[in-house]
Amino acid sequence: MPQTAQRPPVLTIAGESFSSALLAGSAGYPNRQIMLDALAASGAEVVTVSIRRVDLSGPRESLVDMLAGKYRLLPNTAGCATARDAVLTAGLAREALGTNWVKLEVIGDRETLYPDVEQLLKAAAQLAGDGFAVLAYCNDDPITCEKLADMGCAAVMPLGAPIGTGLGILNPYNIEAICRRLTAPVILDAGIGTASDAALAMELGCSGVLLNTAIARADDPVGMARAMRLAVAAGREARLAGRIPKRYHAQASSPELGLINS
Amino acid sequence: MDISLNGAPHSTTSIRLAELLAEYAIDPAKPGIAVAINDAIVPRAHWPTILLQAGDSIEIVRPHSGG
Repeated sequence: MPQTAQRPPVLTIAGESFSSALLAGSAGYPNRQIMLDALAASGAEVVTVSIRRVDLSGPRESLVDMLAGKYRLLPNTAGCATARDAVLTAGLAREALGTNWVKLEVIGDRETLYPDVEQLLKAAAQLAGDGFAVLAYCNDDPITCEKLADMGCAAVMPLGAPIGTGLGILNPYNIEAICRRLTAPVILDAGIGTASDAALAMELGCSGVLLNTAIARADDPVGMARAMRLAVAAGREARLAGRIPKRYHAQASSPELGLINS
Repeated sequence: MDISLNGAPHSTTSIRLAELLAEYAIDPAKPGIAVAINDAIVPRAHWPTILLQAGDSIEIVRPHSGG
């Protein structure tokens, strides 16, 4: 039977609807073709890019030509250490790509790549006030996440683990609490290592998952992209279906009545 | 005149920003490029008219791969 009823969108950010809860990065793939194949296999509709100086020394292959039209490009402010630099980078991204969307990253130090919360909040307030749709990369701290949501961020994106570590979700209790407390979309960003991490993020209540390294650096990026697409979809279905409560003692699943010799 | 271009010293005969971009075959009609002079973003519409000043710090950026 053909379904006539329109299925609700899987993810809505700043009024824009998507049919996949996966957002993917464009960095670190073995080559451009594998990146394109992996992005296609991932089902992601939003793809992150950075903003960097033009190489003035030679011909330039344009990432925009490769991705624009197929994906909604989400420029990031990666590498920025101050609110001032992040705001300028967001402005340059808006000018270059004609989008008011920005993945706001303000990094505190090179070792942890943790956000500098003070600078992050400052930049988020300014950008949200300037009409940007801010998707804020932040600590897995419910207080900071709530402040970002209250400022009008389009999405709040707590880290599962430090960027590039692949350690998964180190504090699932915090992620669950953040999802419970916020009405803004919560997107798990950073730390995903494999498919089960992405499924867990969705089971905890996240609206989406943003990842890059887990796909790009896998032995088979296209295969891992497919796995991530399935994992995010499975985690979301499980969340909607409602998991059973955890118990600390066994409970038989087969009927206890009618046993032979009883 | 001497300017700073993407963090490096640069000597140019260009008078306007659009001429400087032409030195590097940057097509002003193509999307994906943004320019800041002295940390102020220059909207694309102003590229043909804006005059360069000695000592300007010019940044020309574009999207790159990123996570």
